[in-house]
Amino acid sequence: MKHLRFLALAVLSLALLGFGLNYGGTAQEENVFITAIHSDLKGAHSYISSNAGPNNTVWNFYVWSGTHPSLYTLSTLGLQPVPALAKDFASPLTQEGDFWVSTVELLQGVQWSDGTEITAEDVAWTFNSFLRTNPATGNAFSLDLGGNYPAWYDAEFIDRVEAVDKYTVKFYFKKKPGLARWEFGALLSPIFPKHYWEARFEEAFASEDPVKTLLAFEGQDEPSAGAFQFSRWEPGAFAEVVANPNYSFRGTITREYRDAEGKIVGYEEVLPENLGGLVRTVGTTEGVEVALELETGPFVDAVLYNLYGSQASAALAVVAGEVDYHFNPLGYGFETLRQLEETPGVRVLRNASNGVFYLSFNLRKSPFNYVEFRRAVRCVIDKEFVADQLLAGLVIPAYSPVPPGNAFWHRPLTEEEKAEACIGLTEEERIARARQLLIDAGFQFDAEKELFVADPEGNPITEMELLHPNAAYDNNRNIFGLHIVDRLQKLGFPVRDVPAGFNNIVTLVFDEQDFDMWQLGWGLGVYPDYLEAFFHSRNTAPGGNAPQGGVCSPRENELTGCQEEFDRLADQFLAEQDARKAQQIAFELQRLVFEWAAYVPTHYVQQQDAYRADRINWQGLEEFPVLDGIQAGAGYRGIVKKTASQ
Amino acid sequence: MALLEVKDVTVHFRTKRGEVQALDRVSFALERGEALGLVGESGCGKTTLALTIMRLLAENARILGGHIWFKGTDLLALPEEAMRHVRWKGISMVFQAAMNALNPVYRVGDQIVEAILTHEPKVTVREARERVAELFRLVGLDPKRMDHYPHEFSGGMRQRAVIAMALACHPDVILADEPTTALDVIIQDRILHRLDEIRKQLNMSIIYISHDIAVIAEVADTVGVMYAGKLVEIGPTEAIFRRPHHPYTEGLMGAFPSVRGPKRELATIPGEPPNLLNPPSGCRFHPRCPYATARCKAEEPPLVPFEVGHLAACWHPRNA
Amino acid sequence: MWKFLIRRVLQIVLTLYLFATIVFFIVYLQPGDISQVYINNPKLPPEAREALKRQLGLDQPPHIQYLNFMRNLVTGNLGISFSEYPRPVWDIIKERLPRTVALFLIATLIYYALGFHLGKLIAWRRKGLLDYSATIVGVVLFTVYTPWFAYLIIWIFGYKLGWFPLGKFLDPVLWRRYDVPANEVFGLMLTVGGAAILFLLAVYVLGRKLHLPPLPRALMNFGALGLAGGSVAYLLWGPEFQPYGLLARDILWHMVLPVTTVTLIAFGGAMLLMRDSMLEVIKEDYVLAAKAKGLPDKVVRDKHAARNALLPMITSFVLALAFVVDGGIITETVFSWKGMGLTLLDAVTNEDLPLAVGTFVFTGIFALIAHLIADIAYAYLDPRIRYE
Repeated sequence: MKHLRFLALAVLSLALLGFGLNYGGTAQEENVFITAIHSDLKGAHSYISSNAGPNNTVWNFYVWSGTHPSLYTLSTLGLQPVPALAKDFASPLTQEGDFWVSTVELLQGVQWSDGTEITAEDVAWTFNSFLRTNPATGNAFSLDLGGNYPAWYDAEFIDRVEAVDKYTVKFYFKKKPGLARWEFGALLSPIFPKHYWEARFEEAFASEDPVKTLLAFEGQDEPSAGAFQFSRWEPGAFAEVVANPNYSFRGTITREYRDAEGKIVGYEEVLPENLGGLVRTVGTTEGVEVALELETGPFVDAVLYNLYGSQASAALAVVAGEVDYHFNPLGYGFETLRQLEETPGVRVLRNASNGVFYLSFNLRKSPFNYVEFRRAVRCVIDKEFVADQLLAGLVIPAYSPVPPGNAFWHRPLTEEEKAEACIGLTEEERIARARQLLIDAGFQFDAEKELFVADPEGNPITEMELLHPNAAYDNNRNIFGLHIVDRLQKLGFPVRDVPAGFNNIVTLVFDEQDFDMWQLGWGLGVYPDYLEAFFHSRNTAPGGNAPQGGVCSPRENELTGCQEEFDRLADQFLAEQDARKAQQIAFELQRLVFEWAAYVPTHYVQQQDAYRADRINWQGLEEFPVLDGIQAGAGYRGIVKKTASQ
Repeated sequence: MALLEVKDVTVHFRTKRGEVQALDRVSFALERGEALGLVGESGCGKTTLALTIMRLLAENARILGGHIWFKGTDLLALPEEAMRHVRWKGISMVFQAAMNALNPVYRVGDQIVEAILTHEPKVTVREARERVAELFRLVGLDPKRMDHYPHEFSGGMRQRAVIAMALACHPDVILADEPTTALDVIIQDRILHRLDEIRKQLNMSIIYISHDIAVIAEVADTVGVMYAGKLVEIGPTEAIFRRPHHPYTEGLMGAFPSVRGPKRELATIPGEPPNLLNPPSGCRFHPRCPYATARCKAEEPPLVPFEVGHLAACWHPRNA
Repeated sequence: MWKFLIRRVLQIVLTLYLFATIVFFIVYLQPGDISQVYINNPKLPPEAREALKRQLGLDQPPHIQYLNFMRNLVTGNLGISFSEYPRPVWDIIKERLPRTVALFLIATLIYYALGFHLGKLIAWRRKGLLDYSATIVGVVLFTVYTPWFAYLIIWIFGYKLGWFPLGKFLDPVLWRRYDVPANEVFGLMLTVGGAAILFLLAVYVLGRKLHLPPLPRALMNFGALGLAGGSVAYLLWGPEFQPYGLLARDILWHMVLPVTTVTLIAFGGAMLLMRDSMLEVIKEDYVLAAKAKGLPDKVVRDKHAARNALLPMITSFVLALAFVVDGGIITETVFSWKGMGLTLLDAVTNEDLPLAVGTFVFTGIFALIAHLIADIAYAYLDPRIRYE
């Protein structure tokens, strides 16, 4: 038939078109680390802009990170603060008049990619510039820039930084900073090249809207101090960084040591010749074996960040061999994971993610202001069932706001606490136990209707709502939410299930504080100063991070002083400078969180990194547990190597 | 042989409700230069007959038998491509409701030029346009209007244009289907007479199809009367009018007012035309015929002459 | 005619104003605002969130925000995006528009042409094999779950057969070697393509105006086609035009699958519209008259019937052209062809008020102008219609 022939002709010409236009396919012979991202960069005209306000996304981090030095860095496996640009540890904090001060000596000979040496001028200028008052608003400039800046250059603590001489800086603090603000804070903040930015800053501050002016500057050619330099952004298509030929730390050897139990106890760094071949150690490096040894590159000429439209497309790119690695901040779905793992040459690394998902309550209202109620709720939720049966083992049941992957700070439950949380009990046992707990506390139970009708004070129990992410926004939390509603109804409470989007939940919970129970999650940092942020009473006003009302209800605080005790400990924690002592306080804080059950953490997710094991490796790092996976290290592009294959 | 000879043509239409027997063994002949008028009520098959001659019937039509000889060739046996060449050049048509026969998005002149160029490819565009100008003058239209669109013409003008279009390729036969129905009487008269003049001038044959017997009387040499898909009477105009044989024809004559004749009541024929899905047995007119007998119901009367050149299909013809 | 135009332009301005107002308030009234993105980071003090709101002007009462927005709009300023601060909205649109237009314009042209042609054929010859198969295929593809179908196309032609890429509009490994921005190549492609189409159109109209007989006219049209095709091929492969030619070929290679997918999915609608229109027209007397005139079947079908059936299609086509700037979210996501569709979606979900409203208004302007053009085209094509 005439049209059948036409159709055949069309398909044939399509094929010919394919061959004709295709010049020869993707060239893998180049020494380029090809990665996939599935969301585009924002505000990518400078490093400064990429970290500000709503521009501050994880995708910007993947491309831009590593180009700016900091005085300290965190060791890869042990997550310990170790000197980086600093030659050695900072001097202990001492008081000098109204200020607390510390001195840091810098390494000599470290250069920016344009050959300029990095000096104390850069450090001092960076801090002082971001701490300047914004003439347009009266705020500290770092606060107005938003994004990462308020945490990096904290105007509440730092007064100024002085360049004592070419390689020495002195920090002046208004208040004594604890680990959170110092070793895990300012010492990790990025340092900017003064010779590149000084004129622009002056121009910005002279203008009508300094924030807007500064963020509008083109800065893609800013000198880099990292292994790579920003090269190109083709919007909608890809971004590229190229190897920095002037990288001062090229050739550095780092070793991390472990004891007999496998715990990381020591860190050693051997700097290259141009930096004097200096050897720096932290912790125990004698009498223990080397867990991991890494050489710093870069070993590739460039890194490509190919933009794909969705997580699925990017995963397909890995399967098809179009990319070496996929930057994936959220886990894969079950089917995608299976397909990836079944593809020869592809490997999926699984690591603990540094984040927690939780359920919480409005502690100002009844019956949520009764700890017995909250413990009862915790008891009936079967996290193991949801995680293993409903979510196919892709999530991990959570019992603390600090993930177990953060081994140093995570406090495991005691046996009594496990029993208290009803772990291992069946559905009927949990409900029976929870009911008993409530009845003993004074809740009135109608045995015929199997409903709780009033709290111990006689206030009637009315319908309560659970706000949780809907299936489109996050199916894991959606499933948990449905499970919680189901169990609470079986327990005997009238609960209404309210699936919602992120904005709805945040508006109701954080801005208006008009809610009963809600589920959300947090992305966390290494240092658990969030234990203060989530539960201290100073954060309970609208807009703060503790909308539930603290660690226990006002009613309970009146009776037991639980909130005041927690507040005191949390403040102590933030001010603590000794890691061991801080750890003990952190454990106590976690114990209190468990005891008062203001949060019922539900689960942690896995971090999944899919990559072509037949094309790249990270010198063995991939065999180790890395908190938040390879993506948290922005792909560890400084140490990645291409295996010579095909 | 006659220029156009229709013999025993039978056409049925297949519909959801059954088979409609639209034409049953219709036969007549048309000589060169002759003007034949076909009269009958709506639905009697006049237009179907015209479309059958042109082979423009709808998809669901079935030509079950008969021949249509045109200049010796049986049109019903021709392949489509050959028939296409006969159309317009041999036999053309003036449509009922001519306003719609013109495509609204093309100029009137261009549509006639198109017909000319299709059948006479050697003619240049300029020559064709000259011919169109001539045709316009012939039918009484201003040639300058050639480049206007159909909606810019009045009703009467459109009718003339359609006639001009029908004449464009000098056909031997023109089928004029209700050519003046939508026009007022004065224009009607003018156009009819013009058409008649042209016919005599060009020695063309015309078949006038109309339900208006007055129109037919004006211009036809021969008149054929159709009823319920059958040709029931045919003869010279005068004979049909003065001495109708078939009771239906008689009834038709009585149904029309005469300006000159005595004032009388208009007689109507009682009843309605039959349903052609299931036509009456025997003579299809017998349910309405005042003179019907049992024979009329049982046997179908043949079309036979009762005078020279004057045929009727009736067992009990009048004025015979 | 001028009075008509002036009246319509005023109508457009009024409609645009109402549209912008409604869109502004719909997006504004969503719960929350973009500063809520700070809730995710426990390290940020609440003052930082307040500072952001002030920076973006979100601390103002709604009517002040609205007045500021309107004032900017009147001067042609679409505002500054929130989620890519401080990039102007117009900048963002300018960046994403060329690749959106390139893809969806070509696809729209092709699927309308296909739909027109098929619809015309199947209306003319009813109940044939073509009628049934085209209708079934068209309707099935029109209603199929688009993402699944798109991924299927990629899987077959990209992954299994390897004829075409898996997505994206260019190959970074190729493009990193050349310092040429993608939009420059897109601009060149659109210009060359537009010029070629205008040239072919001019030749076709000229042929008709000169009333040439069919054979020389067909030769002239084919000759023009050959000339245009040859020129384009030379631009793509000729040594003087590298690396632009090479990069343009890369983009074209990436365009094949998404254009094919969009065409297959959308042609059914155009085809059925054309078919219905044709069926109405076929009943008209002038079609019968055309046949009676002894015109060849194809001439009756194309010149008389299809020409009239075209009129409703024109309105549909012009409006479809306008919405080319809207992109298509599913196509853009599956084929990794980030364009205006995803821009709008992200802007609305991220509560980027200026970007969302700016994109809406931009599309709205196109749609309103397209409406006007469709009316004018209709009047040109149908001599019965004349506006007072």
